[in-house]
Amino acid sequence: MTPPAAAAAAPTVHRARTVAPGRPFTIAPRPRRVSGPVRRELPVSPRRPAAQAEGSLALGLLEALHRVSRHRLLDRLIRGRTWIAIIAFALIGIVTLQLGLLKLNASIGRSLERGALLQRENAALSIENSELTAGYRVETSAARLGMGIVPTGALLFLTARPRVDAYRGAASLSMPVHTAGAPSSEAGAEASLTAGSPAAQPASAESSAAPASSASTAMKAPASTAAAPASAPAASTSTTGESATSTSTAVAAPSSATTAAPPAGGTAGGSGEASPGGGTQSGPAG
Amino acid sequence: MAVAQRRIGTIFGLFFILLVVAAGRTVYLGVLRGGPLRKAASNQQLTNEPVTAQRGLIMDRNGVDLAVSEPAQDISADPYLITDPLGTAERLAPMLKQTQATLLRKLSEHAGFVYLERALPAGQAQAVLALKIPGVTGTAVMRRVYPRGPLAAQVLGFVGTEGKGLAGIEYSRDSLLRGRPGRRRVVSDAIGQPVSITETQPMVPGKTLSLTLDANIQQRSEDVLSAVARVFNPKDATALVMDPRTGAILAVANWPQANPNDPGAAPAGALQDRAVGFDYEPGSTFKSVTVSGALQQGLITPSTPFNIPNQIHVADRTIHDDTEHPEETLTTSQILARSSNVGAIKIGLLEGAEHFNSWVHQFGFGEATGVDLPGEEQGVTLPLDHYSGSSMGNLPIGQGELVTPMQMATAYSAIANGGILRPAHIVRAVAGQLAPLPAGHRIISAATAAELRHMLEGVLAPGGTASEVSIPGYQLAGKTGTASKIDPATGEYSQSAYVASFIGFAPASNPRLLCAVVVDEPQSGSVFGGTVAAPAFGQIMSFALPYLGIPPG
Repeated sequence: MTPPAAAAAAPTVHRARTVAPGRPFTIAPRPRRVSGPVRRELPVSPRRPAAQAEGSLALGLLEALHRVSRHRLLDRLIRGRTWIAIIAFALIGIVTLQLGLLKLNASIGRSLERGALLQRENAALSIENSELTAGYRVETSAARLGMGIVPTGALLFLTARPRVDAYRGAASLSMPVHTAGAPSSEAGAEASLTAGSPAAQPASAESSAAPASSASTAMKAPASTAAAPASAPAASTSTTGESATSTSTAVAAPSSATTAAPPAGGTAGGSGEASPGGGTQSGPAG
Repeated sequence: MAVAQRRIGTIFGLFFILLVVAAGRTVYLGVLRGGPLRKAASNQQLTNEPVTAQRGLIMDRNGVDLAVSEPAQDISADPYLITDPLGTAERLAPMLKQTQATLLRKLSEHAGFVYLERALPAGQAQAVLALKIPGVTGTAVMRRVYPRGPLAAQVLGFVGTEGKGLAGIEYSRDSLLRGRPGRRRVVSDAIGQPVSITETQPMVPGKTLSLTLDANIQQRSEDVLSAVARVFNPKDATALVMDPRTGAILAVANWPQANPNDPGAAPAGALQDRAVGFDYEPGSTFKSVTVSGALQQGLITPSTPFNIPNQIHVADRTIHDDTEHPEETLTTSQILARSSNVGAIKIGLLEGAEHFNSWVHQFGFGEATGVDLPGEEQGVTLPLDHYSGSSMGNLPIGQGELVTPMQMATAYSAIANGGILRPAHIVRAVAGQLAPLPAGHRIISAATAAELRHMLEGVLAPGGTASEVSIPGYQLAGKTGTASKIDPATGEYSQSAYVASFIGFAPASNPRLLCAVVVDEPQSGSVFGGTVAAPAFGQIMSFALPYLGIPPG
């Protein structure tokens, strides 16, 4: 409270009116302070003339970058912990990529070595294969197994009759395989399996014809059976009723044909029973 | 607060200085020293390696490999870098299969480069290089291996140390077999492991050649020739087996043998393929040409009778038959079966010199057959204008002209296949693609050929000059030949040097296999074609016919 004398002596201070008469005087509130640096608005650049378009492009880009850098989301990202995870992931990824690349590079060397090794092995196998298929080697191995080359003239060549022989050949596939008698003791036991045992076989023309056809398709008889013609001519000729006649006309080695083994895909696959003595196209002429 | 800010600023400044130093070092290394460092790096890390092309395989008609390339290394050394030549020689000698003295000599040379071993198989080479002897290095090459050894050596030929074909098929088809080497750039890391490989020039491997040869028939033919050599001790011998229908060559055997794995050790002349490179006077085997011409011209038939004395005079020359006999009547068939010189000359005179000469050329004599084998001779025929009065006294019986075994086989193929003269061929396929069959042309009619085949059966029938040769079940046909050779010392026909030959085919009615055997100067025992060459023909055919599943007929 102003003392009366001082109040009477001091001049009256009047605040200048900033508002229009008749309006209540108010003071503009101060802006609320928020945490963080004070944001200053960028001064608005005046519009440039068209002639300065290039420079404005760079500036525009800079502005855009600046805007991005001040974006809320980026700010939140940087201020938060997410960026640590992102950078860590990227770093790990780079390291992994590098490791993978190193492994790949290391495998190049190994692949080269492997390729060279395979090339060597291929060549060695080719050489070995060629040596193993040498004729004298095959003959020696065959001789050890009791086989031998068929004597010249001991082969019988038969005329193939595609319809008849194919039918009989197919029919013979359903027939049970009988083991042969004496001739099967030779190394050509396989051969006698297809020929059939004379004792075991029924004397029907059909069943007897089938083994004969399969036997007669073989042109090249295993030599082992050629060794046993004398021992079992009866067995071989009685294999089939009709073929017995025809095979008996073969002078050289009847059993070598009839007990011949696996149809060797011979070109002359005929059944010997077609006609007595005529089934063989040409026996050893002597 | 100010202290903290100062410290922060100090640390920042420190890091900034480090950054500047790093940047400066980067500029120094990358810009100022960049050039020399790049060069040093490329020397250490970058290598341009040649990639050796693998030479193509050669195989027979059944896929049996006859010539294979395997990786190998040329082991070389820089003697200047070898610190202990004696020790190095001692270590390497057993591995390189050389004597220590030889290796020591090489390692002691005053040179910067010396080969220690060429084309060492890769496995053995790796063992050598694994010793990591300073100065010893390896260069990747390809080594040619012939797994069957001397089989078809003269046909296959061999390859030199630089991988180039030097003889035979290896030579004539070198461009196909060789391929093209490549180059690659390899970047290696600090420990020498490749980290980047770039093919700067792709390698092209050689093409695979498939021949018409059959390795088994080839082996058998060579075995038979070896047996002939043991019995008759000739100068050399050759045998040809072919399919007369197509001209496909199934075997070309030569004696003496050679091993293409070691061509340097071969006897002199052993590497020559005598089937195409040997010129000889064919003798009586040429009579088939004489008779063919007269038959084709209709001058004679197989049963035309001729009066055959023991000798005949042609100009100033007297020619005898091999066996003395009284004057007799022989048919054309008998003339061929008994190989009558007088009869053949009479037939030739009936033809006349001009027609005879024409037939000689029609059958392909005097020029190369066109077979795809290198080193083919074309033989020598007498030009018509060089015929003298007595020329028709020797030419029709196969003297006075030079032919090769291939020419004779090709001519007989025309008789066997019904009259088509077709060049023989040995290359069946290239890189899996079948080679086209050479074209042939007709020289005699099928009827004439059939008549001639029938007549040639008589040669191997009783009374023929090769009657002792037979193959049970098969009808054979052919002609013997026993031709005198010129004695180089006298210029006259020798009384002791002969060429014994036999050319035949089977089955006679439908020939599928032809074989020609020529034995040069058999020394011991007989010299006749019927006793020297014909049995060899029989042995080869008795194997080949059933082997190929050729029925008797």
